[in-house]
Amino acid sequence: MARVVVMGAGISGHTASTRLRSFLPKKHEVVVVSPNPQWNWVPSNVWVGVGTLEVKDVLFDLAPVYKKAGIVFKQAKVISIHPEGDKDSSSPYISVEYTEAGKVGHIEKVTYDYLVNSTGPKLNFAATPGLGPEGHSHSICWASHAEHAQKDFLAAIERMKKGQKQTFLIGMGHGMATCQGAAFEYIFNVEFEIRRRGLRDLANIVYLTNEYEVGDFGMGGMHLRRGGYYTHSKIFAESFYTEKGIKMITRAHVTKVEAGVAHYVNLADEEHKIEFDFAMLIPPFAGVGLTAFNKSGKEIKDTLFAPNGMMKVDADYTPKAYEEWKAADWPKFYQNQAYKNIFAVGIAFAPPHFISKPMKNSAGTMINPTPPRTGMPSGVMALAVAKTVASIIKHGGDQSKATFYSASMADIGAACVASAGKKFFTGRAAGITLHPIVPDYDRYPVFGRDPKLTTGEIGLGAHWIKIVIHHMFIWKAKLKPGWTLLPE
Amino acid sequence: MARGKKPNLAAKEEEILPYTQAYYTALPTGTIKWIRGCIVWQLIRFIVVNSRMISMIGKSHPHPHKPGVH
Ligand SMILES: Cc1cc2nc3c(=O)[nH]c(=O)nc-3n(C[C@H](O)[C@H](O)[C@H](O)COP(=O)(O)OP(=O)(O)OC[C@H]3O[C@@H](n4cnc5c(N)ncnc54)[C@H](O)[C@@H]3O)c2cc1C
Repeated sequence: MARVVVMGAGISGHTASTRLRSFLPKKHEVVVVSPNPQWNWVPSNVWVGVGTLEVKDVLFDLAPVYKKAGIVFKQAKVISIHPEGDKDSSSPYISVEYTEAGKVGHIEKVTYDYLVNSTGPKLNFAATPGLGPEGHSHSICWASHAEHAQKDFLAAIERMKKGQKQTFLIGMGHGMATCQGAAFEYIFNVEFEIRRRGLRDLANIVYLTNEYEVGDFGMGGMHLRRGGYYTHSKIFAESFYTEKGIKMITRAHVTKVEAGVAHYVNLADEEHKIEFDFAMLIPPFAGVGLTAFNKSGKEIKDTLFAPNGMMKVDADYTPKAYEEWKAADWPKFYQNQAYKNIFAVGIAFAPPHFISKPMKNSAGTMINPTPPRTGMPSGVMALAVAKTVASIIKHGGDQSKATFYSASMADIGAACVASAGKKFFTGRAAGITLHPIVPDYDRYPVFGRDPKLTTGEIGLGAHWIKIVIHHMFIWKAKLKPGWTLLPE
Repeated sequence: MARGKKPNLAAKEEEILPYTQAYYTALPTGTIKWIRGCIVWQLIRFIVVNSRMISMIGKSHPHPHKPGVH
């Protein structure tokens, strides 16, 4: 009997645990440890944040789903990893602290044979003073944040109905924040909801970003084949912002958020401030703060984690200049190299470097997005790890006999559908596919990506895809009939 | 523009002034804006974009590596 412990039940963790359960015979145990009792379809938090969906529409309880599937669920947060066990036993284990009502604060050791880290990001609001729901801006990264944002957004709408002008500031809350796609989608939904109510003239909508150019999305942007040209996504994004009358501030690092004012510095060292009535600024991400100890109790955090707290895997972490970056630097199997029974997927793994070119101003402030790890790649890497771990277990733990499955971000693509309005017939969305996510200039000289699979367009058709995706992924996550046939 | 009169009008085109960033961007024509919402055409695009995504998803599946090769 083998026990696989999956830490986290977000997009990647839920994929890993449910796929493992479907691949492994019942005699093996799959355990999920996650502090949140509910699963959240994070992409639809955008719609919660403007009030077109309620928070209940993007959440469901995990316990009944896991019970039915035969997965053990512990509502707890992982604190530390002990890959060699401790002085009493050589069995590897994790230390968890319960968050479940009635057991809050209770600490338990959970032993494992294989460990999958899918703990996602820590939302590092503290990196920018005043940033976040406990400061002066909103976030839509968690469902509860989106619900809070919705309340204030609708209050701003009410003020506009009384004839007051409002400034909406949306974008990135730090020079090294990622997830530009979420801010992109949110701002167009905000614009749509305001315009739909006939209040557009009273709204000043501003996009503030750390991207060198809009349309970078933390991936250096992409060249889309359209209308007989290979056009950079900057043109595509800039056109959409301009069409909707949204002002753009690029190359910016937010230094401080005060009540109604955001201060920022840019790559040209200029310091500015902008006043707002409503702000949604995405925080930078870090690892969730796990630590690790060896058998003698010595902390070995550096062996397992990069300085940003994300887990080291089979990537090439040698520091290199941008010009020397290779697709091969990116991990294939998401396996920690010091402890080969530990894997990390989704936002929890440490990327070898950025995808966008690093930029800093003369004061040394880094102003460029860190690499995104969106839903689709997070799911695909979780599937790859689930298949690998299942194969290792089937071969009695002999890794040399097992089939390993790779899902390098330099080999897999991503589909990004950013809605601009939720209404069935008047909504629009930008539908972008790109392949691969990390440009591979050896395989695809000049643009680094497969031109046939890197495309984008705006329309109602893409919006319908977004609606289908919302229902399909919630159906799949609830393990309803046919879920195994649906892609990640 | 009168408040509430043209809820579906896209840009505040009158605010696009020469020598501002907005002036240099590509803007969709009325035809393109109409096409983006044309039900029949968008049904076709729904199928096309879906097929494109499925083909990209097919290429993004985890690749198996022979035992011992990884
Ligand atoms: C508003 C928004 C919109 C987005 N839209 C899209 C989109 O349209 N398309 C797309 O592809 N991607 C989108 N993304 C990105 C996508 O949501 C993320 O890529 C994805 O959620 C990452 O999955 P993950 O499993 O790594 O992390 P998460 O989904 O964040 O899951 C992390 C899990 O770990 C748990 N956890 C945290 N700490 C601990 C701990 N100490 N111990 C145990 N468990 C822990 C959490 O509770 C959670 O269950 C969007 C993101 C945002 C914020």
